[in-house]
Amino acid sequence: MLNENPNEMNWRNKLEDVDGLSSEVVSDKNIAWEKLYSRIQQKTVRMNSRVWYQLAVACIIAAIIIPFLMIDKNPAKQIRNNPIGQSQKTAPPDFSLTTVNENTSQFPLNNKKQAHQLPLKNNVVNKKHRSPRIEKTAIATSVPVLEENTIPVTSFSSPILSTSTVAQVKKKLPVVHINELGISGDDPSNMARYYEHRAFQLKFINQQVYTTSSPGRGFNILKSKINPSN
Amino acid sequence: MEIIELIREARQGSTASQKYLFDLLSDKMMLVCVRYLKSREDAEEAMLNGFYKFFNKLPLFQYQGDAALNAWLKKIMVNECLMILRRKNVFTIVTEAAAAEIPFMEDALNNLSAKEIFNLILELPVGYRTVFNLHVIEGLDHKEISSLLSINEGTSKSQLSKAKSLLQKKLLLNGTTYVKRKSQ
Repeated sequence: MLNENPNEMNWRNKLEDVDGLSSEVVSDKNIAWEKLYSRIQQKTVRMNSRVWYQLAVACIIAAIIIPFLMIDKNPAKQIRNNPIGQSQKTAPPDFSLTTVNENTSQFPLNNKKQAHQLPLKNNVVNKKHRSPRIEKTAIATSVPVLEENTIPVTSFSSPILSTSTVAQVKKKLPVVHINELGISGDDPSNMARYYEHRAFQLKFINQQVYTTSSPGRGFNILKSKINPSN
Repeated sequence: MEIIELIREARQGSTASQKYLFDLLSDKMMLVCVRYLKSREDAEEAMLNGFYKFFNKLPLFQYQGDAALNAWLKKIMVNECLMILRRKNVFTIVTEAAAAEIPFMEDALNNLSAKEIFNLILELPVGYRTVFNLHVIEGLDHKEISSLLSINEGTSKSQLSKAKSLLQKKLLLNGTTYVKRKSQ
């Protein structure tokens, strides 16, 4: 510090002499104060708006995050909390398909009673006039009708099946369904075989001649047997 | 009302106390700002910025006497002035080697009036003036000045010596007029 010299202190003190430098001081203190006060007020307003902005951002983030958390938790809770009956309701396609396939694969040609148990009558008969491609989808949609009727027989027969998880059962669905119905591709030979198969079932439903259709006849046989009058 | 009470009330947000403190201290602080910035508009801006920060940081301030309060507020003002100088980019000091110390004409300055001393300082170039203010009037050493202004210590020393030599020249040039006026 340079405070040792008393003379130096003297001239330095003169620089802070407000009376001696009156021309250099603030001309109008009130105006200066108003400027300063407005700045202080703006600061408080800015602080308030900043707090509200932060609150709004927090609310938006919470609104986005909470639904995601709920979605993640729900499936697990449902699986845990579902009673046996509810889990069976979600599973019906599996059991129905397996039963349908079993029934169709083990279908005896001369057994009228078993043939009448199949509820495919209406669905398949109405779709006889359609093209082969449309019938593909029609048969696929006809599966749920089978499910509703066949579930009670197979699914409640064993308690082990009723407690099985949904994921394990779903794996069997597509493979068995496609193979049994013969809709593996667009191959025309497969389509012909498929129509023969369906025609064979229709014969049972209509209680007509119980013979298999020959591959040479193909669709003509099916068309001729749509109406009972024919 | 004592200053300590004013500070306590201003801390709690009393506008009247803040205005009273402003009225009490603004003139002194304006002089400091003008000494650094020369321009009255810039000086007023620096002073208002300084008081704004002063009132914002008042809750952190522990009152230890009027001198401490003055020193703290003065430090805030000097920092504001330096910020304005940096912002206006007028404060460019070329790096120079350290110059030899020049003896300062203390007696000559003591014989001058406050206004004369003030005007002599304002006539200095901005770089010289800033280093002179910081070293001779505020009492900072060259290390502190170099860190404040982001310059070398040698540059600070050379700027100070040049400021002193320029002041001496001005004193010698105007010496005749000062002597004549004193004799009158």
